[in-house]
Amino acid sequence: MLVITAKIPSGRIEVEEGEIVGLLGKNGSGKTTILRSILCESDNTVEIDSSNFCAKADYSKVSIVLQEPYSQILGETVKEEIKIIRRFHEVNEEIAKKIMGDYYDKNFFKLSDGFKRRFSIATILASCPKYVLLDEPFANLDQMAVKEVKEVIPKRSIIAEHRTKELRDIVDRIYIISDGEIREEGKEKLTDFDFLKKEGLRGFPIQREESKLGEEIININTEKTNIRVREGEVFCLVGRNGVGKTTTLRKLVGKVYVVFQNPDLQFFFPTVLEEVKDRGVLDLFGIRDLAERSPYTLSYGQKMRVLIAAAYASKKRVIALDEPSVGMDGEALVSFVKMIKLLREEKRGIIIATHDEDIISICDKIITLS
Amino acid sequence: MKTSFLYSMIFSIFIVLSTYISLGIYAMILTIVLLRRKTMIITEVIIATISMILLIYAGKPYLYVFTVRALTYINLYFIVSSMVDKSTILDLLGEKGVPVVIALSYYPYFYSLSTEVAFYARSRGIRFNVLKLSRPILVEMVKVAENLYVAYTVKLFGKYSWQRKLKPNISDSILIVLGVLIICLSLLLKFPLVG
Repeated sequence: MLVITAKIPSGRIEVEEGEIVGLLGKNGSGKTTILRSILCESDNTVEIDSSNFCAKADYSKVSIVLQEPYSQILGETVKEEIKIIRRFHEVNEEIAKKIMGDYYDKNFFKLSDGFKRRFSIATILASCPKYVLLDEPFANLDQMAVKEVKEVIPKRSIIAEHRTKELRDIVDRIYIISDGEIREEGKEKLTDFDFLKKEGLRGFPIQREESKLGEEIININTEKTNIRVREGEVFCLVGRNGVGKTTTLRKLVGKVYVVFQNPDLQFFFPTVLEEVKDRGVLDLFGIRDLAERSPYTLSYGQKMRVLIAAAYASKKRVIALDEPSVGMDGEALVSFVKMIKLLREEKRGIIIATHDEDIISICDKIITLS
Repeated sequence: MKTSFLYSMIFSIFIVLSTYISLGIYAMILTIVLLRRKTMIITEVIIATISMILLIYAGKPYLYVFTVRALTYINLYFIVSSMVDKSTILDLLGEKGVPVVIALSYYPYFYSLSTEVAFYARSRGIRFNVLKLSRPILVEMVKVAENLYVAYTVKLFGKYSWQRKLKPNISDSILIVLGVLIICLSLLLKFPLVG
């Protein structure tokens, strides 16, 4: 049995052989900190079969798959990475081959998002660790990719997530981090929408608010589709990862204000105020208290708020958002929906490119790209 | 075509030497062909042509050798990065080669990262400013470094075992033949521009 005893947040997580355990909590609650206990750099303790893991950290017993696949590769292909790992310890190449299939020798940067995630899982599982810890393995994946990843998650795992829909059919037990404490909850809580909302988790339905649409603001023909947006309208481009949603938005640059996916790559100034350039807009978006903060130090939800505030301050009448809900927990999602309401009231047009089923309900018009 | 690190280095030495023996035009042409990247090939041909015209017009054609060397060395870096079987770096350098392997794996990511950041800045109407553009890139690099440290720790546990495999394969042989050919051409057919 794997037991992690944590100080902050405080509590104990147990994983029996043959089970998958969910570790739930909103962004910043400490999920990643707990998983990183196996690096033995904190006061947390890790026990495997009643012996202290950190006395001789042996990663053939427990290992970790981090959230971003691109920041944990050691080779360009799984085959190449396995060759490197093999120089250090025994590996079971067949496991990696089975997980990657035809993509075993394919360059990481040419893989689909689902298979990029599989890449990081395959290279960890090839070392045959007894227990595996996975940090948000379903982040930014469409339904097909989620399926591809679920198929390869082994038993004896802890999955840290705030997306509960994806966990419902895969975990045996769940722990939740709330108010600095870890506690076990019944699995039925994964479908209790009030509970999910209260704990800042994803998986509850978003209510659509009717609004009166104004005049047409833009009418643009792109390679994929015609985009016509009216005042106060939420126009959604939906479809699988890689179908061309981002490419379509890139073509709109100059005509509309586009906020792309990774917020950190879109901050060019040292403070929030310099990013937004308008104190009035900071007030409107409720981020005045963040004015002097570095945008990089904010939570994902706050970062998106700053970027959308900057878009609003630009006076562009249409704002496009590329997968805006990717890193959002339940709390940030509710706040995001309020922000969309504000933009509607201000008669701005909104384009959202997404594969996230949770936010499709806020769309007035949906175009499915294929 | 995957080559081993050792023979790629020998090939690189031949190419670099040829740019000192003569103008290095054969080396540049070969590296451009081996690049197999349409945009880069077109860009480099344009740079090489404009540079030659400008230098001849300015009465300093002897400086053209530096254009040739710069393009050849950049190409060499890209060719070696894409052709070398990274694990063979370990055959030569042992455990010390691991950071080199990882660095080579990340150059496509940082290349795309830089172009993304430049695009986002343009889309926001931010003019070219090294300080502003480097800010998000640095933040991202720190994030990647943190995660890489974790990946390195949990994936490369255990004692390193050195496996020396220095026998050339067919790709290595072709590369060496090409390198020798370029050296011979440079010795036999010299261009008048070189000082």
